Amino acid sequence: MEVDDLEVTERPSAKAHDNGAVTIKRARTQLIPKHERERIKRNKQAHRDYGRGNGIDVKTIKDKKLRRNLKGLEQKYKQAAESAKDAEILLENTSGFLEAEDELERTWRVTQNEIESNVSLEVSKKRFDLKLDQLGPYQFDYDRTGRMLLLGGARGHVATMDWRQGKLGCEINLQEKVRAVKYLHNTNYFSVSQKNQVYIYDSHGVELHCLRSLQEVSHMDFLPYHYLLATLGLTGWLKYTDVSTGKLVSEIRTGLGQPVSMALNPWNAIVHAGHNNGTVTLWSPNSTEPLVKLLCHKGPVKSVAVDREGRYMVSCGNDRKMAVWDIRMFREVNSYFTRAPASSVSISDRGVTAVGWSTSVTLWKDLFVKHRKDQIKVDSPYMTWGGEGKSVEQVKYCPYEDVLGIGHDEGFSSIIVPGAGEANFDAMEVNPYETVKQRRETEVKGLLNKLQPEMIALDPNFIGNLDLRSDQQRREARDLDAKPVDIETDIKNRMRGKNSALRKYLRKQRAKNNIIDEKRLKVDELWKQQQEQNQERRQEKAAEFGPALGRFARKEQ
Amino acid sequence: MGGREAHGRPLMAAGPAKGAGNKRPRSKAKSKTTAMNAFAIASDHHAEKTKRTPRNRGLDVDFGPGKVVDNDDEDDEDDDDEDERPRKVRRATRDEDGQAIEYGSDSSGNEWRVGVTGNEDDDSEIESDEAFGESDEERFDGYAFGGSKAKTGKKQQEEEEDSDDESLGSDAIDLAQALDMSMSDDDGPEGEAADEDSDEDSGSDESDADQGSSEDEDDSDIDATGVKDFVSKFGGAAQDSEDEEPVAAQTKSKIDLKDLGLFGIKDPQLKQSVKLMTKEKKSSKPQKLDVPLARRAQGRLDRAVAYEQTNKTLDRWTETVKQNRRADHLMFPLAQNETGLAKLDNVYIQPINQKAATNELEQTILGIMEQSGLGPSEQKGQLAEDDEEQKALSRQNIIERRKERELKSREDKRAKRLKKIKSKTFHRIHRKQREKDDMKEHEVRVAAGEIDSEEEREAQERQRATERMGARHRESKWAKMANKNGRAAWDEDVRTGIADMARRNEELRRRVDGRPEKGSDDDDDSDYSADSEEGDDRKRILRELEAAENANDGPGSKLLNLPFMKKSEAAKKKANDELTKQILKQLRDEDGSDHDSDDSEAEGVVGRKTFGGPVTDADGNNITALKKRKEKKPRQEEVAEALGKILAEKNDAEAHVATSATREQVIKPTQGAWSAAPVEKVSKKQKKYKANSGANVLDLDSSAVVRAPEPDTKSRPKPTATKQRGTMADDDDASDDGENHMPIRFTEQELLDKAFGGLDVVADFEEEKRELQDEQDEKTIDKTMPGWGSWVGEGVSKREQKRHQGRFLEKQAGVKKTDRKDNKLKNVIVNEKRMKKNDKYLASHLPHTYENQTQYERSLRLPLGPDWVTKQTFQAATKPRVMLKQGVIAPMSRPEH
Repeated sequence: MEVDDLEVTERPSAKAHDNGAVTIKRARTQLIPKHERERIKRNKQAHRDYGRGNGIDVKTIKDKKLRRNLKGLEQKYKQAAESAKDAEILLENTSGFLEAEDELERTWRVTQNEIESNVSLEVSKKRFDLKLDQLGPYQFDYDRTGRMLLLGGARGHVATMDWRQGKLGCEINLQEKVRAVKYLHNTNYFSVSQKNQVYIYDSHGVELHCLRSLQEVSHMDFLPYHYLLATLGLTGWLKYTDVSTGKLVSEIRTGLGQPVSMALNPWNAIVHAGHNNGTVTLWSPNSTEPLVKLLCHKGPVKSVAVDREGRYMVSCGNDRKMAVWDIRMFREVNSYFTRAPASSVSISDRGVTAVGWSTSVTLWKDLFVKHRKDQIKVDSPYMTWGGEGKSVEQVKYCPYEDVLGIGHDEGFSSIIVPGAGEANFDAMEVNPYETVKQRRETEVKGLLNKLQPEMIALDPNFIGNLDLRSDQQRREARDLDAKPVDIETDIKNRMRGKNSALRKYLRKQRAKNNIIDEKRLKVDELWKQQQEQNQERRQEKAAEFGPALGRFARKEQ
Repeated sequence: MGGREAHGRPLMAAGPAKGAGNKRPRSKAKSKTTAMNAFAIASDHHAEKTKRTPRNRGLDVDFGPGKVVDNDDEDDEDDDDEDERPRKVRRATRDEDGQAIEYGSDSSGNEWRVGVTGNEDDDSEIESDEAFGESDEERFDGYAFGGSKAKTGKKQQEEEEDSDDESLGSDAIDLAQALDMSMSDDDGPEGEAADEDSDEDSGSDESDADQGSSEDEDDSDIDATGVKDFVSKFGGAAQDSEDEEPVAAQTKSKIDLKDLGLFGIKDPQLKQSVKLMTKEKKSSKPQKLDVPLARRAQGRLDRAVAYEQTNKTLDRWTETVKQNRRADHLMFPLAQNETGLAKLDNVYIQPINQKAATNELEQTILGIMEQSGLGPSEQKGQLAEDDEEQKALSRQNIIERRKERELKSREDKRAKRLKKIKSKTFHRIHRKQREKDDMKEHEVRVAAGEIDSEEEREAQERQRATERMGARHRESKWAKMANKNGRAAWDEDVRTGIADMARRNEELRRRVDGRPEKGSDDDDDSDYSADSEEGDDRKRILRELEAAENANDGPGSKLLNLPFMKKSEAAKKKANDELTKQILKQLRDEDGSDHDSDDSEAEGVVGRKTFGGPVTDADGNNITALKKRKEKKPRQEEVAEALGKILAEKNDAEAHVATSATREQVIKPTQGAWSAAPVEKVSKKQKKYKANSGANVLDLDSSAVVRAPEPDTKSRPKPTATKQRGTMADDDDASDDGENHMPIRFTEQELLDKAFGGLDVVADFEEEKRELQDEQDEKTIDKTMPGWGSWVGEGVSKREQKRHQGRFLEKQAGVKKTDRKDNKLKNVIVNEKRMKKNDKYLASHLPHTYENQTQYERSLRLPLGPDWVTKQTFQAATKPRVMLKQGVIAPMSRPEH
């Protein structure tokens, strides 16, 4: 029964007849014991949640060994998914949304005050307002762990704070326009896009770098796994800067004028840029043209947000439309109208969408549900905030918290949104409670595991896939005019210090293998020369010292 | 045969050998036919001979039927040992003791023999002269076997030789004697040869027969009468016992010296010739014909067989090797069977005892344990005591159990009987009555105007069902288990459970029937006879009940004195009694209800009657219930009203949705009007407009926002829930706020159109897409150069020009429109260009073993890192294939099969 239920509930589109009967596609004809059915159901869920796509048909493989291997592999996939499902028991925290008790109750009528009075003291502290009406409106950013808050007033006020404890990290007044603020890979560094250039500051507010190549940047985002700072300038240039090396990785001209909005797809590190002509373009640093162009709105795209799993995009435009797009299929799922053009949109870890418009914020739940085949158009919002005359500049969720930050012209407000945050964090990924030591560790590890910008593509799983070009295409692609690499100079150029590159190379190669190729021959020859030279030098020295002291002539390796 | 023998041996000594040959008529005949053709013989014997190579003997080859080979399948190493054996061993036969006897001849023709048993040695110790004494002669007198004549001949010959000795001189030693003497010293070839001869002489007929190969074995093996019977079976009546003589004669076809009567040949020259003859005769024996194969041929055969054998021995390992190759992980030392060094593995720690305690620590620990009564010696004593106690207990237990069983079965029987009574007739009797009752009740209710609604009834039904489900039912698994194990006897819980079950059962029955809990007891039984058949039934039931009651008294006696027994029995009995009482009561009840309905309702009504209670009730309880109901009603009404409102509201909302949907549908065309303008008609003016569109973007501020009509929000009832909560914000505000956030549906589409009228983004987008598609599509380019291969300029005719136009066409690869990813997607342009930078991370060719792309790419999808999988999976994935434990690693043990 359970299985059938699942089948039915998952497909609201399944046609219901006039008499209320529902066609069940896969009727249960066999008698399966309950525990078995439950097991099957569980496995299905595991495959859905943790599986790695559909398996291949093993039976058709002719080669016995390969068949055996692949069978074993499929088994491994299955086991991995199942054990991941089993490991759910370790997720100690549960998340829950506001629920209406009866049909008369509306969750969106619940005010922040009510929530505050009903939650625990510790949680209620998470709701606060910062009154900063002098240098606003405020842009802000949370760091990856959600612990620190970076505030940037448009008129030059920049401050960091541990918002849970209300502790100020640093506070600087730049006395020039602040366009955007962004935390880098950890709380130690943040970048501020000022009137002309982008600057990087440390946690004490000391200016570390000025990135002169990034001029008049209006939007900034950071790719934490690639250590890339993606910036969109007023001139319409998209630039990627590697913050670990300080090098500009790629500069791309969007050719669509001044950008209006920008968002990062956390799943595949693709930048979504919203433009004045209603299009949203998808960019990677590897291409000078947009990977995809979507026409979402009829007016400027005021704000874009992508959900955590990279499945859905919500964009808001000046045409007062809020569009939900499936960005894997590139299909518009639904579209809503906002009462006023939205200024900012943000999607929480659990899929609660916050839309800031004029002086209020509307939060939507279930705009998209990933396991649902046909998305349902939501009738009423989940929660609301505002109407107090604070014009909203930016909304953004705090990671791993049921907290939404709202930057407005009178400062900053933090409100409680039950069920918005991810309840169970993965300390392998981001640890909200990390110590200083752990933070350092993560930094080193992150740098060691840094992904190359060339790995960015629409499908991040492309790595290792088969190159399907024909031989002819490949030959054409090869640069025939390129100079052949000179091994000698290559090695010599790298030579430095006593422990030269050549020596190191030889040592390693000799110890490792005995493959004699062209390079090896060359290197051996070089080695021989060096040895001879050394010998000569030594002899000379010995001669110089005389017969008695000759033995002290130092032997160079 | 050596020359020495030729000198010393009496010429006729070969006689017995011949005789031996004569004993086997078949082989004899064979040898006769093949005597001339040495090669044929060699080839004939070849097949079996190859298998008798020294190497092969060691390996377990099956040498054909009947031939028992010494079966030393120890190991391969044994082969080496066997190589040291004499090289030209011809055969290995078994004597009676089952010991292998090997014999053959070396290159010089010397024959030898190995492995002769002591018994035979003893035989050989008998002097050749005495080998076949007179007594033997007498013993075998009447028996006519193949070689009998030869033997007699031999004897005669020897007699003759004796006389010969005399002729040789007093100091001359008889050769036979000399041989006997020498044989005791060394087992030289000659000695053995003689030995063989003597063996043949002295040995009984059986041993003689055994000397031949299995195929040579014949009837001589079997005793005469057996043979006769055997033969007669085949030959039928025609073959008589007299036939045996001619057969024997036939076998001995070659004429002997003895046959000629030349016994005493004294002429040395003649002796020489006779000796030669005998030699020839000897050579006609099969042993003689076993000429060794050429070394190479022999070697090849040896190798072939050895290869086979080695293969077999190695094949034992295949499974193990396969398994190890396939294993994901190998842990050395391997888990193996208890052979080799694995035996020495003493990982298992022995428990400490007085003797094993080697160091001080262990001893102290042991001491402490002893003191505290946990030591090994103490435990033993305790164990013994415990054992005895347990035994006693278990005995007691058994007895108790038996008693329980007895008792229980009795009670059970009784219960069953009662149940049976109830189940059949009881229901039959009562069905009609029940129906009648129901009808009556219904009518009464209808009359009272408080007939239960369908829902209420259903709810009641459900309640009853749940009660039934919840109760530990008589047929339930639990009950059965309790019954089966007889747990009621000793388990308090179960006992109470059973009692409870019975009670509930009762109650439920009553409820379902809608009967009062306790019937009126004061009813008279006299009415039973009122209707005949029913009365009969009742009587029968009563009788049965009585019988069941009477069956109560059993052997009981001691068993019942046990307290738990009493308890359980009491409980059971109570249940049963209750049941009987019930039945009786119901029987009476029925009567009562039949005849005087006034009595039927005596006390509080249970079950359905609570709802449809009698109107004409004097009972205080019912009145209060009614009152309660009355009190309830207004509230219910309230709720109903509220619900009705909600429903109405809902309907309203639905209607609203519907209307809006229709409106949207209506709107759509207009939407198309401004958005999907045909691209071809894009005027220059518009394009111009587009060029500076960036500057002309209309920013709608909130003041310009169109307010959607809010049709029925005002008519909505204010939600009471919010009222009750008493929010800080006043209601009006809240609702306004809420409406602000509600999704709106635009009706004034024209306004929007106006707002964005200048920006024809859709058309632009379509145009862009089309251009891109055209650009990236497959193309054919005319690469014809004017003037190359044709005339150009003035005066060239149009036709000529046309003829040259499409001469060099080149096809340019591209993406077809239909192949594009965005072909069917609206408002989407997907870049079809290749990302060259990504190529770095692509596999240039399909790796070996994979048959296609999907297989290969599938193999890549399982992540290895700890970030993406559970720890368990991660560890399993990164576990090294080969793991070494510290210490000595024993070689793999031989698989056991």
